[in-house]
Amino acid sequence: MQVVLEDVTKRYRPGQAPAVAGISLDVEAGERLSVIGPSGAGKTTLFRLLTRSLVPDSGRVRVGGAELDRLGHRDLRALRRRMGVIHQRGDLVPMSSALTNVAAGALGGMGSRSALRLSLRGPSGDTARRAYEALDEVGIASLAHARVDELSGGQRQRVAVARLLMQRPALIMADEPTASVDPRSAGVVLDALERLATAGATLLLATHDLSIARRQHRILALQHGRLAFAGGPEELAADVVERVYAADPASAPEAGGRPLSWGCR
Amino acid sequence: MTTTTGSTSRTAPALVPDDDGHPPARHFLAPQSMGRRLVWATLLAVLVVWSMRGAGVSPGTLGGGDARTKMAEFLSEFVHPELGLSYLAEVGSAAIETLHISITSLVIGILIGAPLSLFAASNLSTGAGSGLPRWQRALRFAPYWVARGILNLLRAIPELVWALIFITAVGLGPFAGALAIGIHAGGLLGKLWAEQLEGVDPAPVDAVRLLGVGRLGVASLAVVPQARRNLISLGMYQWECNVRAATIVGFVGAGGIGQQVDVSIRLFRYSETSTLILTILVMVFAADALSTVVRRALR
Repeated sequence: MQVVLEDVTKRYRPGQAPAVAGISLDVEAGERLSVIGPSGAGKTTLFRLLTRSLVPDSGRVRVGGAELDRLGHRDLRALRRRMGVIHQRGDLVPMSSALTNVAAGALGGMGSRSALRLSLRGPSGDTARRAYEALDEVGIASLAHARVDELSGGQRQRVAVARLLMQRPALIMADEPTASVDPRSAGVVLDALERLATAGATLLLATHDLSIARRQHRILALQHGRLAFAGGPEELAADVVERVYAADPASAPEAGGRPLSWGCR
Repeated sequence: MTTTTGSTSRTAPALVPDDDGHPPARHFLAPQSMGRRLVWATLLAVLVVWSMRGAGVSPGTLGGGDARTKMAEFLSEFVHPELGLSYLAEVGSAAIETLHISITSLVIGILIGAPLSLFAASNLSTGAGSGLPRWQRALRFAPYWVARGILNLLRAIPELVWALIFITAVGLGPFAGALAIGIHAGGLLGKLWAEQLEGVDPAPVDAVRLLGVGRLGVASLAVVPQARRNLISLGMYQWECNVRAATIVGFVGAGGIGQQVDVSIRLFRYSETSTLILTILVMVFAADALSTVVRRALR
């Protein structure tokens, strides 16, 4: 799915410094893009503008050829069905089973009645089979009936990815999906995301991990809500990264305990 | 020096904006100046004195000779509860009717409160997460305000007044009582449940909404599962309140044990009153114990 931003600005409060300032961007369908920048640089705000969880103060946002501010309630829902979001903290529904959480990924295309049935009785038939398969793909089919709040952070993130696999989105927005999980789960999560992208989905991946960022087609660097750099991984020089993270050294790759790694793993 | 450090460390967290960049709000319990405290204390004192005068408080009347002999008369009969078998059977059936009223009214309350609570929870309102401009979102919040208004109305009118209204509609008896308590319970449950639904972690709710799921789907898959325990717990608490209320509505003829209490007091049969009050005590304690057991089992 194609993503186009034209001079987009968003302030959370009038008079405050903008969280996103005059960003223009053109992402081709199937392109894999990584977004780097210190905490507060505007990465999350950018994603929330694309899902229209936030409305920009000015500028235009087009996703999949649709102008977001012209979409009605129904059309927006239909569009959101094709966008997959995964956060640093999986955002799963606690007190529900992993299987139910994963099956919810298929709900966009179904009516309210199937949602009610899923919440009362759990998934059944084809939905259940696909949910098991998705959990198997991330290696935790045995945890299908465990309650999500009893899983570890890494396991939870795998469930979130399984939900994404179930949803089969055309645009994936991953907001630091591996920031707080164990290395093995991080590997599983990234593999699954990149496999979805290879199958044709557009991938926007926010990360502080340069080795992951460099594996994508293009890298964006944000600083104070502005685009500080946009280009291929080979063009990203060390001084760009240093300059971008100078505003907030605490979230810089080195300070996070992960060494700046320039090579591929 | 130490005091300065102490006060800065106390106010320091308030200076940090939250995750969304909103400036911090000053907590109403934050340290205040002496003058401000004096103003608040004076206002409070004026309110209390004004209220006590309005309520006609006069310790003399309570301790006066007439009141004292009447209370003594009441107490002397009260310590000898009426325990005749035929009377106990009568009390028993009234107690069971009270129980029936409390359960029926809980069902009525749930039928009214559950759907209204879904509309009265702001995170489930049509405007939430719709990404619309502010004025359109305000329009979409109309059902929210309507539901809140209905709940306030149901709750603002006391059970006894509802009972009088329903007695004129369906006649004397327990049905009027069950309707009266049920409507009031609906107003209470609706509000309390809506607050529980609003209090759930918003991140999973947004995540499910972003899957393109409709409102009923978001409610049943993301919001209710998170709040389930508290919803059931509040339902049990409401039943407890219904038992108490069901002992009262009888005073205006809406069935249950209250009717017997009213009769016994009017006929000065204080030993019967004693039996009835003891029965009510047992019922309320039993309801309390049962709901505590259920709520604990949910933890």
